[in-house]
Amino acid sequence: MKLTLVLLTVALCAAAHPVRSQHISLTVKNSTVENLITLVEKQTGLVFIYKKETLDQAKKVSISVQEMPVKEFLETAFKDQPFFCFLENQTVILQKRLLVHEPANTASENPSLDVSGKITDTEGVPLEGASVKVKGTKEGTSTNIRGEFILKAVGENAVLEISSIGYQVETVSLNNRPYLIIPMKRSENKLDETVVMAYGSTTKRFNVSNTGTIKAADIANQPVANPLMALQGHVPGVAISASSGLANAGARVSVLGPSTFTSGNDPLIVIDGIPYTSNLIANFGDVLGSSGTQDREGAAGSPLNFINPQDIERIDVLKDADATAIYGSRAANGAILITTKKGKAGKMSVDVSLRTGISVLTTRAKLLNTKQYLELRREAFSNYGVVPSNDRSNPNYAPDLMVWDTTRNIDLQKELLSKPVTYTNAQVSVSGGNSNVNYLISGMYNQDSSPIESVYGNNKDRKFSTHIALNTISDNRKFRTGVTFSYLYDINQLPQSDFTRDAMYLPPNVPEFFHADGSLNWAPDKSGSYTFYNPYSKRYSLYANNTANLVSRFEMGYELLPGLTLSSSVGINNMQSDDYSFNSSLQLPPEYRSFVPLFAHKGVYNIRNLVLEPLLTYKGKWGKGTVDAIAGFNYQKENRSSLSMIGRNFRNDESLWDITQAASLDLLQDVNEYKYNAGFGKFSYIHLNKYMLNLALRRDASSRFGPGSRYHDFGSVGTGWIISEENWFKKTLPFIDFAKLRISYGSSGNDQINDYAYMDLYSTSDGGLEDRPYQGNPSLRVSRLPNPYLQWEETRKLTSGLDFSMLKNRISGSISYADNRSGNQLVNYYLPSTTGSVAILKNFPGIIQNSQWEFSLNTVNISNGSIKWTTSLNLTIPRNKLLRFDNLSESPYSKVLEIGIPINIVKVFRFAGLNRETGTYQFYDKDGKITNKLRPELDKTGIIKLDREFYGGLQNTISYKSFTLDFFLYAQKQFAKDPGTIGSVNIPGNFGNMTTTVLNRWQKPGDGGIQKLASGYQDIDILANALQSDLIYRNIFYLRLKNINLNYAVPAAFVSRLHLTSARVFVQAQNIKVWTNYTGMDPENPGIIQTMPLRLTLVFGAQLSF
Amino acid sequence: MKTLYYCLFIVLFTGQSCSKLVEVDPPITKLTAGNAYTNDANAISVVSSLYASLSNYSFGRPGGIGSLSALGSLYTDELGFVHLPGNGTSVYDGFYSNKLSSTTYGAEYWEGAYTDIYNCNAALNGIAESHTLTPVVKKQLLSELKFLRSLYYYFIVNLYGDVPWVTTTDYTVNARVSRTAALQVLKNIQADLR
Repeated sequence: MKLTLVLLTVALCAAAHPVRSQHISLTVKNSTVENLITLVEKQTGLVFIYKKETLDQAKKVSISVQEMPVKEFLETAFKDQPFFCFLENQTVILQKRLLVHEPANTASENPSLDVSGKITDTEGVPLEGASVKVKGTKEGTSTNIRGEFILKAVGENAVLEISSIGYQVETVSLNNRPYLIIPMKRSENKLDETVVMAYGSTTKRFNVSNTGTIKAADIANQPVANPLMALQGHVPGVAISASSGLANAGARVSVLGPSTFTSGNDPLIVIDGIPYTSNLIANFGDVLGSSGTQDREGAAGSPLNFINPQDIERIDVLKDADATAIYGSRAANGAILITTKKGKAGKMSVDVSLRTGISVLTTRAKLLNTKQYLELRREAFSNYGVVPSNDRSNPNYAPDLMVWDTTRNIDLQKELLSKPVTYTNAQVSVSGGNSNVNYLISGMYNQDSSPIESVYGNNKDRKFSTHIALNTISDNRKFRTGVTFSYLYDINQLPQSDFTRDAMYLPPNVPEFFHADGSLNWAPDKSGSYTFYNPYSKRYSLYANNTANLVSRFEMGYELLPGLTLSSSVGINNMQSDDYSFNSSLQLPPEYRSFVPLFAHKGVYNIRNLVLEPLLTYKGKWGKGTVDAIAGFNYQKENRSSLSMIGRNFRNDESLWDITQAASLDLLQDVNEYKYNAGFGKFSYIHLNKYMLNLALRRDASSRFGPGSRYHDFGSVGTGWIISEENWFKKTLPFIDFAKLRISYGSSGNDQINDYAYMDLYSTSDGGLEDRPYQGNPSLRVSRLPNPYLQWEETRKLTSGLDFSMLKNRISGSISYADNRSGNQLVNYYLPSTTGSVAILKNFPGIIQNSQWEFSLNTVNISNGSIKWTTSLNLTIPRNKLLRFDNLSESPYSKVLEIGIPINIVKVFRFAGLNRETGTYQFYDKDGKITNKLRPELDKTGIIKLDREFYGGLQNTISYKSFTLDFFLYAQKQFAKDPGTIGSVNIPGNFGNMTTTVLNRWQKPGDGGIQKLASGYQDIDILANALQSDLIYRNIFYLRLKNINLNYAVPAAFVSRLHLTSARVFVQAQNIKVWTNYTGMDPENPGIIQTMPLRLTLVFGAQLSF
Repeated sequence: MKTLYYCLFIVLFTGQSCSKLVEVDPPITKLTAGNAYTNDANAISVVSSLYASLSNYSFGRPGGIGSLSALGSLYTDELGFVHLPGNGTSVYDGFYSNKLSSTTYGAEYWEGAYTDIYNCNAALNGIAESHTLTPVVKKQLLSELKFLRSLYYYFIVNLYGDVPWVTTTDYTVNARVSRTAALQVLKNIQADLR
């Protein structure tokens, strides 16, 4: 594969535009200017733009130069010509000089001149709405859609001041030129950065919404395959965690905290304007861990694993009502907008990047070594006067003490999980264009591996992807079209289950895993039966998944009247995947193989999504302000289908590869159709560049609700005030460059429930035994209790905030406070058994409040010449509260919910310390009495809040000359189960390794620490109480050095000698180190010990552009 | 004119398939309650599922060691039970040592029986209201369903004494129903089977 890759790269490099020199060596005598231009064009690849008549009176040129820089050459060659020339981004523009000495233009008579021109960006793309003013006067105008302007009767030596949002102000002296082309440089002021919104964009300056962004550069610094993982910690208010460290694992994301009891809590994901699925179809890939949110788990794997992160230009997260109301219904849980890369006009540029390195698990739990382990085991036996036995049928059977070699000492975490695997990523992209067409094409190969292996697969996750973006605009700049097309193919092969729990659980003196011949060792005892479950037997299982994902969009627009554009887009997303999984007989201890049946699973999944969206947009000036208005319609249809096959009773391992060779085959088919449409409008007004008003209104309909309640209206109002634009503010607080107050209120909805829930349906294949035929007659059975009155769940969001920038933009930041209340909850409401159902999905007037403080601060710590150090910090403090739940105490939810506290809680017994006499745990009953006899229905009076208490990230960027160092830290704090609190993932003292916390244990009256060790189930009832008590929960804090990126930009002189435009080499590391009080392996998923922790990925790479 | 073309083009481009908007058909893998009783074959399949449930499950509980015969035998000491240390309490232990209560064990068959009673009631309503079934099939199926429902009630009245008598599929009614005297339940069974 690597060879193919290299060949591919070489082929692409060779096919690229021949690189031309930026120096000129030339000798001409008495050449015409045209001739000279042709020669220069040939040699340098520069393009000359001029009107024919400009050269009418041109003089002949004689020049002889060697290796002269282009700019110098032009100045020399055209010194005495009747035209100016200026060089801008590979284009040389020639313009006629006005001859001052000509009598017709004498300054004394009529000092004025009509001037026209064109304002473009540095790539030659016209800028609309740029303001052109004559300095020192009130004269001024703004450019049209083609970037053109005309100013009548200005002084011939007047100075024009051109400004446009997002660009640096340019001042240009006319010097008698009647026509000017003025390229504008992008502003480096962070306030003028673009912010992508639903159906449009604004700038940070005028944005009144609560949004967060990461850009291509932030993503490029991180060797991750899922864009969500690149987002973790970078945007306040967005909580993300990986559900496993395996390749293609699930990712959990929650934008505003839990806003619903039982329906889905996923944010809306939108790629280039097309809603993208936020959860896969239920599949057989449990080893990957699930997506969705912590408590409302979706299917295994994450759909965003099938998007190439390097094709992403930026990710914007919309949180508050002002930003999300326009997405109406489905954005109650926020929206994540992914914008893919587009082509840039200009000379073709080729960009090649290659990253390669290793990935290895470095996080460890502190576990006992053999000496400590055996000592504790023996103590556990002697505590109860029990003698360990080597006889399987004896309840005191202890193979670790009596059968195995007690001198072995294995670090199982190292042995089973810490094998370094390779990581490779290569991407080639080519972009270019002119003012009418721009294009971007790219190809990517990504290979990650997992440290656990299957003997039936190659244990690699390989992704191949292509991306095309093409945009056109007509000569009159009225008709534009665009297409983006991304296709990714992924092949992932893994064992069916993870080894991680084995690494925590197996005793450190576990026998050799393999015989000398490489076969598995089951360490049989005298009777011939196995004495331990060999974790490497999991290698004899397979989970293989192939997924192809197409995301494509076509759009076109036409400017009907100045500022008024009609456009329309169609988006298509099709994700097809299939998986296959089995356990072969070799996975079982030899004595089981003869009678345990062999299973295989096959699934075929298809998600098709079609979106149509006509839009009418208006931009214009109203009085002293600007208006931005949108009206549109959205139609979406999503089809999800799956066909799952469960094959039972295969005759042998060889036949497992073919599902049709099963002796019996169960088929499950699931077909879902979802339709959705909406009409919407949004009106934004900016008055005097300091007062902002946004109004949004939307009417939504979803096929998931009953015919009578499909439609619902959502809306929002957002206002902002740039207080720093006020004169009194400028006078009193001159050191504050910018301050903006914003507040917004509005509603958005949630329809993340099952399709067809309102229909009374009968099904044949829900997979249960009751669906099987009876005496040859197929079965037909009620699917679920229908509810035709289902309605939208609605979240009302109030968000206020302050954005500021001070000390010449060296310190900037924002503070936001959100108060979101989600009501009309769609609840799977428990029912008494007499209804024949466990629950019915219905709307319930419960209200959940999510209030959230978000802080972000960006500072330029050092900025002097060669050294620059910038920091950005963000912090989120979420609070969740159940505000209302009618008749809670009489409802079935009384055991799991309580008014006034978060909904993600667990009710527990309260731990009353260790009884120092007996060495056993004690608890309080509901009356505060210390006891060990607890009634689960009455005595669970303790409450553990499981949501994050806070989380945040800190990014540092230090640059010194050609070096740039970035490092990123992520921290969070939340209550979770900690295995070390009771000393083990198992019963302390029993078979199985323990955390070192168990060394502090009760041994004799008066001791504290962990309960008296038990060799068997002697105190199991007390331990069972402990496992339902607050003893096992800890407030777990962790700080992770998540990313380091050290970049070296090859000096320009050297780069140009290599005929490149830029070159850099870099080292990147992801998940470097964790500091935590957690005693398990990795606090990413605290309390979960069976999934692979995040791995350290260390890569070296280079990126070349030419 | 050109402008008009562009506009028409753009409008037509998206204006196409919006006719059905948010109407969805039921999935092909499922039938609506209406279709389930329109013809004999479908109606027979609905009744078959009740037999399938009865044979593969024991009132909603897995068969075999979890079945009513096994647990009932533990309860009446026809079967013995060996309590292994540390296994805590289990449904077997609950039945064997008569530790049944509303919060521990004993409700197992109550839930399962009412699920099947709901299915019986749904089928009874559906078949009774259907005008397209062959009269003889309709009569047989209604009789079978009444027998099945009686069988469930017979079992639960023997297990639990007074039980709610449920004959509708409306969950708002069924959620608030109270117990009917055991004797009255038996009388209702008798009336159904007459």
